[in-house]
Amino acid sequence: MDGATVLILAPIGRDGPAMADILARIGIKATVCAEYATLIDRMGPHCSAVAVAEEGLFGRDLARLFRWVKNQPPWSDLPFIVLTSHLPERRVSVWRAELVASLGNVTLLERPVQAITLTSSIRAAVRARKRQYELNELLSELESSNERFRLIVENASDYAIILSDPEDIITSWLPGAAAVFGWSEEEMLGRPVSSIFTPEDRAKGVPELELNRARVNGETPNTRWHATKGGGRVFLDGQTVALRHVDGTIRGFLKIGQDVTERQRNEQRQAVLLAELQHRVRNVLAMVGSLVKRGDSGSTTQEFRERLGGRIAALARTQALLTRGAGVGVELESIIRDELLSQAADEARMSVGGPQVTLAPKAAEVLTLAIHELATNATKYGALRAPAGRIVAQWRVKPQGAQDWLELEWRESGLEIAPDGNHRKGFGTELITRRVPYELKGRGELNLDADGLYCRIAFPLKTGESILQTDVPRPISACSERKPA
Amino acid sequence: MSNALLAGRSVLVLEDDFYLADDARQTLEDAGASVLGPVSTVKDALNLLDRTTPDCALVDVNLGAGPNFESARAIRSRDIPLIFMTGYDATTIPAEFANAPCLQKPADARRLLAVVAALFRR
Repeated sequence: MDGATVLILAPIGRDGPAMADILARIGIKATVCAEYATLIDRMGPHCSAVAVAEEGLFGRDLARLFRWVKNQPPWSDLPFIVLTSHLPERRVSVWRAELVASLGNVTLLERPVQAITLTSSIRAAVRARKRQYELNELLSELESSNERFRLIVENASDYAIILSDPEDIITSWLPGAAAVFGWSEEEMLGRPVSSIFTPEDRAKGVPELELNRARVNGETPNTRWHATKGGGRVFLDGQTVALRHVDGTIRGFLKIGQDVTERQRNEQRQAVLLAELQHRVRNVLAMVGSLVKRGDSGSTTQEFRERLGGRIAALARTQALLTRGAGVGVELESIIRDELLSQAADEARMSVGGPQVTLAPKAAEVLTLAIHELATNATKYGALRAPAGRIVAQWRVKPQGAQDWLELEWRESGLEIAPDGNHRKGFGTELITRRVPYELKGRGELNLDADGLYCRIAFPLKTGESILQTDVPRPISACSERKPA
Repeated sequence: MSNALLAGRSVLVLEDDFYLADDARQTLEDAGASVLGPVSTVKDALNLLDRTTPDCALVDVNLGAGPNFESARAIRSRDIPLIFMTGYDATTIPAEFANAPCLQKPADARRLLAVVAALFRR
C-alpha cells in the first residue's frame, strides 16, 4: 500500500528517532509516536508494522490496542516488533505473556538489540504486511467479478442454472431455474435433479445416464423436454457439466439450459403443418381425379367441361376459406349467397335465411359443393331459368339426442314441370343422397315436386377442428396448468 | 380376364372421403372382389370386423383428424393383411406396419389392383 508506514513507540531517550534513522537507511518509512495515545490514533490500514518498546506500553490501558488488533478485517494481521524493557523479570513476565498473546503477530526482540536484528525483523514484518495488502486487493477484485457474475446469472431468466452435489442433490437453484420451472428455491433445495426430468425419461433412467456421461466426458448435452411445477413441459437446450475438486474427484454438477420451448413447439407445429399440407394437396388432387370420372349421364363434352370447371372452382373456394388460418370455419349463409351470386341469380327471386351457423371444414366442403350443384341446376333447368321461378333456402338448428343438427331446406317454385320430367340422377343427386350420409353422418334427399325441386339436407353439427390443426399445445408458462390438447 | 383378378376375395375399405371410397369400391368390384363397406369411421370399421372377416383391408391413414392407426392395429390383431392409403409421406406409418404396402394418394385404379393382387400372391 502506498504511503504505508512503520509506527514506532519508544518514548524513553533517543530510541525512537534512532530506530527511524536505521529504517530510513534501508528504505523503510517510519513514523515516531511520542506516546501510547498517538500510536493508537495513528493505527490503521496504512500501518505496515508497529515497533514498540515495552516501556511505552507498560502500565497503560491496552484495551483499545487489543480491540483494534482483534477487529482487523480478515485479510489483515498487523505485525508487531516488541523490544523488551529492563523491568524486573518477576514484575513483567505475566504482563508480557498477555501482551504477546493479545497482539498475536509478535516478534519479541531482547535488548540490547543489534541493528541487523532490528532491521531484518522489521523488513520481514513489512514484507509480510505487503503480502496482506496484495491479497486484499485480489480479494476485492474477486469479489467484484463474483458480484458481476452473480448479477448476470441471477438475471438470466431464460436460462435454468442448477448446481448439485456429487449425489446430484440440488444445492443451488438460481432465479432463472425458478422462472423456467416454476418451483421456488425453497421447494427445490435438497431435492434430486432428476425431479425436473419427465416421468417417461425417469422411467428410462435418463437422469442417471446423463450423470454418467458427464462423469466420463466432463460434460454432456442436456437437450430434451423437462417437467414443470404446473405439470407442463419445457424444452431445455443446454448441458450438464461435472465439477471437480483439485484432486479430480467429483465436487458436484452444473446443469445449465436455455428455455427454447417456444422454438421447439414452433418447429413441431411447422412439421405437422407441412405434413398436413402435403396430405391435403394429395387428397385434393385425388378428389379432382375422382370428379373427372364422375360425369352427369347424358351430358355433352362441352357441358361436362363446364360443370367440371364449376365444381373444381367451388372446391377451390372452400379450400381458400379453410386454409386462411387455424381454427376457421365457414358461415353457412355466405356459402349459399356466394354460390347463388356466382350464378348471377337475381336477389329478388331468392330468399335465404336461418340462424347463424359456422360449419366445420368437412361440412363446409360438402355443403359448398352441394349448394353449387343446386344453384347450377336451378340456372340450367330450374327456378333461375323459369321467368316466375323462386328459390327459398332456409335452415334451422335442432337438438337431436346429445347433438345439434342442422336442417337445411332448398325449395324451388314457379316452375312448370312436365309430367314426364324426371330430373337427371347425376352428380348432384349422388352428392346429396350418398355423400352427405357417408361423410357427415346425416341425411339428404332430393325430390321433384309438381312445383319444382325440393331438397333437404340434415346432419349433426360438429365443432370443427381446423384442417390446419396441429395438436401442438400453444406456449404456456411454467406455472400454469396445461390445457387439454 | 381382369374381372377375375380378385374373384372371390373380400376387401374392407376404410376411407373417409366418399368419392375416393366409392372409386375404390368400384375398382375392386370391377375386378371381381366383394367390398365390405366402404366405411368412413374407425367405429364403423370395427363393427364390420366384429361380424365378418375380410381377406384384406384398405385403410386410409387420415380419417379426418390427423394420422390414426387404431383401426390398423385392430385389423392387424385379427391377422387380416392390410394396405395403407395415405396423402402423407410413407414415413408417417409406424415401424410396426413396415411390411404393409402403402399406396400414395392419388392412387389410380391400376396401381390399387396391382397392390391388392400382389398381397394375395404372397
